[in-house]
Amino acid sequence: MNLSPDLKSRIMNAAKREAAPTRQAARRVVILVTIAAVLFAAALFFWLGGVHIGDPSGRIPIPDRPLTFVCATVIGWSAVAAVAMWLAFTRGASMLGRRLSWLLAIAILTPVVLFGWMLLWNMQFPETMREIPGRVGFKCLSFTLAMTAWPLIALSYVRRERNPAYPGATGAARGVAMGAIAGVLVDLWCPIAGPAHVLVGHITPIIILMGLGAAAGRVLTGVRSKS
Amino acid sequence: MERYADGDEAAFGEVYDALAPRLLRFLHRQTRNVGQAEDLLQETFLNICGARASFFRGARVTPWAFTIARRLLIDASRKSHRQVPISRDADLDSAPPPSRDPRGDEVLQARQVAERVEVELSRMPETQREAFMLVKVDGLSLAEAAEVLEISPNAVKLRAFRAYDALRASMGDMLDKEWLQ
Repeated sequence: MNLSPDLKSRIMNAAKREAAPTRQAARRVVILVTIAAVLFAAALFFWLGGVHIGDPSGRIPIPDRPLTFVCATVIGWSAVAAVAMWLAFTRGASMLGRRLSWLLAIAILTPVVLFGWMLLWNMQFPETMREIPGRVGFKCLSFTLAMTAWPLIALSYVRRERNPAYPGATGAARGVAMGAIAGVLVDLWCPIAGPAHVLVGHITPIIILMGLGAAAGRVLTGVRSKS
Repeated sequence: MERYADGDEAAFGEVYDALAPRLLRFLHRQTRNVGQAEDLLQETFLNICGARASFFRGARVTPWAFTIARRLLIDASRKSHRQVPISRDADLDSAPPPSRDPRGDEVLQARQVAERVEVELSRMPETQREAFMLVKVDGLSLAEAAEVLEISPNAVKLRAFRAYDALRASMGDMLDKEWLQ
């Protein structure tokens, strides 16, 4: 099986037309998108009122969350989110990324661990388990999605990756990791910590982001034949 | 690849020279069609080119390139709704008639051995065949083949050895040791 010079020149010309960005150029764009995402999330967080231990308006008949409870849940969520981010956004020692088992573990276990951690502290402070009628969690859900959906898609595009092994699973893991990071801000902001509210408002958006990440991963980083 | 990722356009030619022969052999072996293999080779290199910004320092190019090629093959065969044949070589069908000179006999014998090896390989489990072909035919190191197949280097070694053992058992003296080296 010999390579013809004509094939080489055909491929070289096609590559020139591709005009792919260099590593430095792509890194600059990734940094810009990351900064924009962080600033947007921070702006949204403070616009909505920043940290809420209880309800500052007094409209929700709920006692303030104990400071230990808030610190414990935020520290736990931050630690889980940091580990998930690191595992999902780095590729280990290979261009092919992490093994499928790792990616699935991040995507599936992260929401479970986050919910379990919250429930554990709920049990330590039973007054936080109170559910508030009419506060299902749609605000928290929208807040999380508003902070993370566009950066997830933007980063999938500007990183310019080609993931021939598991684009969907990688995207799902990244969606979950970003949802977990946003969940830390939502946890600081939301005064309601009842399990049903947490499940709908804080965990469900992470699962939605898992699906969105999987779709973005498949479409934007997957390898497909045109022929 | 490092230089190409940093913006040295001329380095892409070197990447091509280093990878293209092995990739084309791999693609041709799977498709049995020169035109399709060349198209898939072009697509493989365009994917590498498009993702150069994501190439990180110290990463291995070969397993990445082979996995891209493998994914493109799978995708192309799905699109064409047909199984990619692996046990027959179209080149054999179009081979010239055997000549009478001693060198021609050697070529014919080598072809017969190659054909027999392919038939025996097609009878093996897919996992063993893949490991064997990547290491012995495509020239990937155990570590590189392990990355492509997502298994440990020891598992690659074991699968390739089992394939080799099965070949030796079924072909006996017919198997030219040089073919496997």
